[in-house]
Amino acid sequence: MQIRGMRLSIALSLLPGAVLFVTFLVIPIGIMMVTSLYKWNAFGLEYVGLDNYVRLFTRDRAAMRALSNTAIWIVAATLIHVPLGLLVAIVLSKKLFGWRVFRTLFFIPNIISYASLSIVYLSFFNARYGLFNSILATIGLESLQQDWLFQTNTALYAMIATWLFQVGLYMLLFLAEIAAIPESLYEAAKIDGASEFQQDILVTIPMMRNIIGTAMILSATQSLIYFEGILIMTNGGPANATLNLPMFAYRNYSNFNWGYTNSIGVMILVFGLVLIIAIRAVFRVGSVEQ
Amino acid sequence: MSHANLLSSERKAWETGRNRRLSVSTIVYYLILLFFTAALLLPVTWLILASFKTNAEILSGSGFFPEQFRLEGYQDAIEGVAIGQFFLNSFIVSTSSTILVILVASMAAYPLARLLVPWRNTLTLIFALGIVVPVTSLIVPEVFIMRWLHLNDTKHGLILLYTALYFPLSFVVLRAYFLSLPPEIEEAALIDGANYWTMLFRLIMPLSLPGISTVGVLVFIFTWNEFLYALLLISSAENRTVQIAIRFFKSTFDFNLRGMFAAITLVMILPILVFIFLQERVVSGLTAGATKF
Repeated sequence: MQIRGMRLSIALSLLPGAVLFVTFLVIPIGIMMVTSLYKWNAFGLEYVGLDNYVRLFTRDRAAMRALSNTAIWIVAATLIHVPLGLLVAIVLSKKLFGWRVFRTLFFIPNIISYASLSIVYLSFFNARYGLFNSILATIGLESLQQDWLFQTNTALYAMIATWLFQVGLYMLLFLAEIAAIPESLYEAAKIDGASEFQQDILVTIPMMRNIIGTAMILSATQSLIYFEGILIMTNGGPANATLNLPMFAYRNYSNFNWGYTNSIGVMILVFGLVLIIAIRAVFRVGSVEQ
Repeated sequence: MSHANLLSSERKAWETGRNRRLSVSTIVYYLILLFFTAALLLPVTWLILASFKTNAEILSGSGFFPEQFRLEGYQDAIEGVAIGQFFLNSFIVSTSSTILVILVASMAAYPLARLLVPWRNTLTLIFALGIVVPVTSLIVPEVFIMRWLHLNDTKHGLILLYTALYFPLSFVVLRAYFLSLPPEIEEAALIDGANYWTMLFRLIMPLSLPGISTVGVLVFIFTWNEFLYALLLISSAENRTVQIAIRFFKSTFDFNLRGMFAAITLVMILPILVFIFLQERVVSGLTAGATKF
């Protein structure tokens, strides 16, 4: 539609959003990038070139740990939790008696805040009264009982296990997509003699390439920025076993290493963009041809 | 994927679905569903049930169900921490941010969706790119900007920041909804002499209520659950939101587990109720929000 006589109104209409966008997204990104080249603490700013980045990638062992834990977490979430979501969605798409109830139930943990879930899992894995160790005892696996979140060899995996609830979110995305697959494709597969399992593998999954890619992007970016559970449950410990990049950034922010924190922030930003671009390319997200 | 009619298309496909009979595969399917029910819900269910136990019962680690349902934990939670105040703070912050972001995002999305504004595609792309920024990375600059604006440790500062952080997503979802409305709508209004603001507030926004409520539910849940920036910006107890109050539960309740469990149950119950009553709205909101990358 033509905009004659409305220019001023349109400008006024765009203004609040633009001001907020610039103030709280554009300027912060600019400040972060520039000051990542400075030593910035309570005493002031001092230009140090790429020193923060050199420290991040070569000298700081905690940084190495944060990087590798973040990578492990992202890989686990995209390669374990997303496929599990797909499995649940395919099972629910069979419309067994009560499938709607399961759909609602599986989604419920996704609506609860990460902070509340952190207390839930902290208690669930507690060595003294936690349910998890009681279950192990009940099924005769006392030998496996341990302090899951506070031992260096189990903490990261226990933490990744607390992320399992995300399966419910991916399930929902996949269910919507399965419902949109034309029934004729299944009819054709049946005429060709495909079993139900073969239909799932050969019809359903290939038709879902786009949404699987989307779920992986979501899973990777959400894992990249996960913070509250780590702060509340383990504070990055024991011995940095659960330290990830956001927790590491927060720790340096709290220690007044603001320039260094910003170089970690730039890394998070770059990793986020690289992950999105890479997963989009692998799954050709957005293209419609099959 | 079209989000607006996602649920109706879903329903149609189910109705014309494949038939089933009892077989080995049915049993396997139910076993899978039972496994996930346990894996996803046991921890939360256990904690809620434990909030009705005595501390001794919880510490002994015996039994899933309480011997008898006791409410002392809830008494401890309500008396021990100012949980009502935290709820009120969260409610004020979430409701205000939701209303503000809907207003600001609609005002930005309307001209860029439906009017021949110069640079409209460039502006749309720039706003949409805001979605991919991991805001966790911006902690230092955001904290300093809030300090420079004298907005740290205030609820209205947090509201403003949330409005800005959820603006890109709301903008994209609302713009898509505005685009889906038929193009003739404004022409009749223009002949009747309506101006820009009448068209936006009296015509387009009322017609877009489904899209607006989708964004509203989404932003409300996101801001209700937001933790990091509330933690960084709010320092005084009287401005604390529910989520950052949780962080202090561990020390406040110390070994009073039933009190802590009761407090957490109270915090969890509101989003669960919102979800159960507004299920379709939440589902379409999250699906729309999640597929915008």
